[in-house]
Amino acid sequence: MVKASIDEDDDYIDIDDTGPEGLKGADGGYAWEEEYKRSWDVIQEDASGSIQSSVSGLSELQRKRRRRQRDTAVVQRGIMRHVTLVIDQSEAMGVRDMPPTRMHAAMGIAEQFVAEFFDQNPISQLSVIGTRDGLAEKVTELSSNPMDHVGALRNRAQRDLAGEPSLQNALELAMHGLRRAPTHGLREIICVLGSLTTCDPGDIEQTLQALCHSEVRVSMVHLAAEVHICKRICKLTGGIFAVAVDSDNLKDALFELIPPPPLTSGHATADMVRMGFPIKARATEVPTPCVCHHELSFSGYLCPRCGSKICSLPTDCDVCGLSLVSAPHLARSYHHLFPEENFIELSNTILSHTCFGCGVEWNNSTTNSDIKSTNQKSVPVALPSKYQCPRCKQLFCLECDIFIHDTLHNCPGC
Amino acid sequence: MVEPVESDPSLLVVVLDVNPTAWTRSPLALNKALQQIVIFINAYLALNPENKLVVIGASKRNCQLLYPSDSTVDAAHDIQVYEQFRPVDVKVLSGVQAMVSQVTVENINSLDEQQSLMSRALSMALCHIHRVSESQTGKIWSRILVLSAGEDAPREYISLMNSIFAAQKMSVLMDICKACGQKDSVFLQQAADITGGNYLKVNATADESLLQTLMFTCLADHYTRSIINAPGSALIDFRATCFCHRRVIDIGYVCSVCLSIFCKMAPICSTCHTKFSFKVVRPDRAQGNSLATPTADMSSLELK
Repeated sequence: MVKASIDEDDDYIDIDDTGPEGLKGADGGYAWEEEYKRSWDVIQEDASGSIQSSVSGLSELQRKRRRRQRDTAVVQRGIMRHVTLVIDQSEAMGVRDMPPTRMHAAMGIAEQFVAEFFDQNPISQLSVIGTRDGLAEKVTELSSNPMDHVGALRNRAQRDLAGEPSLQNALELAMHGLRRAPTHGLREIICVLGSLTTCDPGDIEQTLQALCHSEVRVSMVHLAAEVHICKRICKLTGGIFAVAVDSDNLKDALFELIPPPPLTSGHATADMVRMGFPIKARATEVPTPCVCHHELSFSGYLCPRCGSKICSLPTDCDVCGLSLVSAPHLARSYHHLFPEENFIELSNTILSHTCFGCGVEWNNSTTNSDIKSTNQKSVPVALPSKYQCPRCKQLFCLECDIFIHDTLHNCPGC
Repeated sequence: MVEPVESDPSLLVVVLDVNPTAWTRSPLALNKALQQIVIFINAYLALNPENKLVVIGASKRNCQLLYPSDSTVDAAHDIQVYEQFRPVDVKVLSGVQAMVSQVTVENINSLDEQQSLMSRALSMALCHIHRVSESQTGKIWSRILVLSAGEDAPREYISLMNSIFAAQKMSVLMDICKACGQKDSVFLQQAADITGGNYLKVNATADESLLQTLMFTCLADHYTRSIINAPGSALIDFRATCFCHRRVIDIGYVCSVCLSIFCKMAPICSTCHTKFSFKVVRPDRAQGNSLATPTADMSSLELK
């Protein structure tokens, strides 16, 4: 799937701000011409002088924002992923706009990303590459063990930042590492960049052509601004480009990349992958070495093909190369294949008195007449919304809705 | 990672399997078992005044919250019983009685009748735990005690595994007590192993043994479990069963689209009907994975 022609219209930069977005505000004027919104006027007292109803309304709005509409289409997804994480270690990452520095914020969030990534994609593999001083170096090899990567990231965070990153070198090194990955898996590169410049030895267009040819999907999160070449690479390879304004934004943008993405038609090669399901070796009195780390341990797993001892799953056997997993690892990915449907929001319904999941009673006692009205824009205190499952028609509260879709992936009523 | 402290309160969710068909096959009668469970619950509540309790009953057709419920039951004050215990005891016993009396059995011998809605009960339990943890200001440690009487339901495998992984993420321990039934429940064994709880099979020929087992192993909270020596569990088999023959397999073939497991290679996956692409393997490029793509670069064969 080689995209040789460049789509000029999409890349045209609108210098005069006369394009469709422009900088116009809601009333037609510019954003700075609008009336200043006094955010403290949102809090209003009710008849008895208490502000509890306004505060609970505001907290309800905040929690509603956490509830996201997810992509619940039942499509083929890339479950077995091979991802390379590229971290920028240039001088631009020492800027203090994200406390304490961009580097510390990015490394902390990268550790959380690694842990969550292996939680959601247990049979995938990850490797980490760092780039600084015009060079790219491999931090960890492709592996399924989150501890290796977290430890390596922590060590890396101690190192000094220097020079400029090299986007081309990093992408070439990542591609080289991903060549060993089998074609039925999805190959991805995720970059976290802070620098607006890059120091490349050759033409990055050639790297871009090679990426498209190898069907590698590149996604980037930039900490400073939207850089044209980064956005172009992401767009042509089918990835996502995002700019993070603060650490929460960075975390959200990175975590968006964790659920397995739907496969486009060019990628969809399905294969039967040969996998082994090892049994746990009996705990011995004398410690024996494992073949992955060559360390002595009392217990482990035995590869069913060659019988060698492995410490942890999932991994590839170092002796015979068989992929070794256990049944719960495959079961962790089932909720991506059979996702829970989004709940429908209802506000006025008397179908039940309590939330079906947690049994809390609906608080229907707050009414709008208690609140003094003022001239400023006010936040209406809404009745708590109920959320209905489209299949079993049971009602749930907001907390249960968020919990069911984020963590549980099961509807208690179905 | 926050470590538990001795004074931290706990939340215990008891999931009672009240499927009457399953209990008829047990040497221990349901009402005797309930009396022992109520004593266990009272002991748990007496340990710490801040301990919280939720009881959920599960049968074949529905799951119901038994405590705390707003059912109007006459919990008359009895001077011989500790005041906090009486409402709990009365609500649990009357709730179970109501659930059992609602059950109508078509075919008492069919295997289906013995399967209870365990995954639905666990999902409700986890929603409750989430609600309590969110509204609590301090740290509260939660665990689930499942009293199982029925058999595993294969159709509930995916939802049960989702509940188990959610419990593991929330650091909720799951203790499973199999009160009756000959076969071990494989799914619940995995639940206990993954979440760090205990799986106990009670040989209920003697009346007292259920209560003794529960008191010795399940009464301990998160902090105490790091000190006491729990009974060892048998080696749990985490191998998968193939979808075609339901046999346990050591090495199998996994469809990369739908993750179904097969014991033999087939050109089409029987679950998602995907046609597999077979690529030619050349001997000089074989690398262990027998479906190596012929377009693999020569540089990937360099010695490490």
